[in-house]
Amino acid sequence: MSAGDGTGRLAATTALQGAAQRERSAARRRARRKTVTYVLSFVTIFSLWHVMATYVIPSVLFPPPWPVAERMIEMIRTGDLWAHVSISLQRILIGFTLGSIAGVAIGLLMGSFTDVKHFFEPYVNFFRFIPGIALITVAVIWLGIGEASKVFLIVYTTIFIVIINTMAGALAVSQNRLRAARCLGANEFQVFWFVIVPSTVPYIVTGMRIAMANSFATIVSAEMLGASLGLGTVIWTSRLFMLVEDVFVALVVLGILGFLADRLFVLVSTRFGGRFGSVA
Amino acid sequence: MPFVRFDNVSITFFKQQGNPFTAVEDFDLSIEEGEFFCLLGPSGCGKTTALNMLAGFDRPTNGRITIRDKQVKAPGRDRGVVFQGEDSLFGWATALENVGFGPRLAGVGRAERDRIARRYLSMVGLAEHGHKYPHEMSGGMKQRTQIARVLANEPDMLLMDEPFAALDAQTRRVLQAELVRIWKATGKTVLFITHDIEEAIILGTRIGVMRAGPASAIKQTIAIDGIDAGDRRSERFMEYYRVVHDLIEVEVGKSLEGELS
Repeated sequence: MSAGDGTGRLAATTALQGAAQRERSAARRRARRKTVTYVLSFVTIFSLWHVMATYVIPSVLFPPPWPVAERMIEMIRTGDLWAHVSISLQRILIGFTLGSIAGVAIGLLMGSFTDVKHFFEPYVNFFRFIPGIALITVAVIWLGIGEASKVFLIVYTTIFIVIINTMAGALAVSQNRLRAARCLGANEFQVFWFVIVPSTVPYIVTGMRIAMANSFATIVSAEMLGASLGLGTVIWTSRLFMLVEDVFVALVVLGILGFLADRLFVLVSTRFGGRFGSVA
Repeated sequence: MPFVRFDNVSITFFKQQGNPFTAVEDFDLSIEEGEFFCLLGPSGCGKTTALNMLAGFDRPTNGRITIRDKQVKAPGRDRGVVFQGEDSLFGWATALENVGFGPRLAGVGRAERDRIARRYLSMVGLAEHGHKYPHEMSGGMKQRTQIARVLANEPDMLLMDEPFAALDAQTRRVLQAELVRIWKATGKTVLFITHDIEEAIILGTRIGVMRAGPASAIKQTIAIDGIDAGDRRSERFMEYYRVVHDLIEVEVGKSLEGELS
């Protein structure tokens, strides 16, 4: 009897292992299929671009992918591209970080304390309708054409989105959760720090993610007016000299950088913020 | 001197639109220490409002609520509240961290509060689930976690606002039996809100049947004696059921009429 039992168990274990193996190979197949589809997607867009630029609209104003790629390689080789990219990224990083820190702080306070909310609400609702691009002139007049004006514009473009999202998150904390904390003995500061702040994390992350995309948009416009380096400068000055390939290099690089920045952001926030809920 | 005393308590909510709404009026109730008091009534009758006032979430417009002769003014750790909804748990914290939250606020160190949390988690049958986050738990497990979290704070009193109402029937029965066991083991005073007659009879030492709202109060109080969680179909249980049912049916009717008119 015991021998029969042993055989039965063994059969069951083997069956289980077989199922696990099948599930693993199915997962591998799905991953491979995803990669293939991605590659296909890239091939399609570049082929379309090539066909359009070479046969449908052949024009010096619309270079096909290959000359653009050649120009990009050249710019990488001379180090020009890195000089532009690094300064643009540096501006975004500084402005985005400062804007996010300030935005989170103000948003949390607005969402937690009605008086603070009423105090800041008029500013937020006034300035968030004035786009950063509209303030470029003012920024340059006040802060000069150096780094300060660019960083200011990125801070400006980041802060309101982060404020509004953070505030919405803080306001959305369920009443039961706040009450539970209070009757467990939390004072107002502890309610804020141990309940409202962690409850708000997913909203903060969403706000920052949108703000990051806006930062990329704003940096380009800021660099178009008054900067000697940066991706925006490349686009603007190349236009003057009809260097259309350079414009396209800058556009492609912008897209790639934005995509990578967003991926990195999602990666970091799920790695460190995953416990606070679906953050990205 | 009773442990808890509602003395002629009324509460009126003044809304921005519409008329002021008096949820509870001239509400009197005394609960002795160690009692398991069930407040039973049709939906919208102000049961939860009464609990919220005792918890310190809402202030009475008139009258006084006292605990050991001291007036209730704010929420406090002497009264642990178990909510119906699971949204009161902290979603970013494990069961262990949720249960250890009260001790943490009180300044208890990590190792000690983990020890406390483990003790209360095993009291509610979740000894093996301390590492789980709320979204990984079933509805019943979440309510167990809530109960453990409140107990870990060592309150004098448990205030439970329909804690099992959202659970399936089987889970609810299991948790009812567990709650009776925990109540007997800890000797805490309990105020338990429910609209379920069976639940009130199984759990309570006394039942206060409320009138239909608005301006509600307790219509009658019934002492329950000698009913265990296993007695759901005994002759004695059925007698209590009939009495309470007759009392409440009139009120349910009124409450429905009120809603429809």
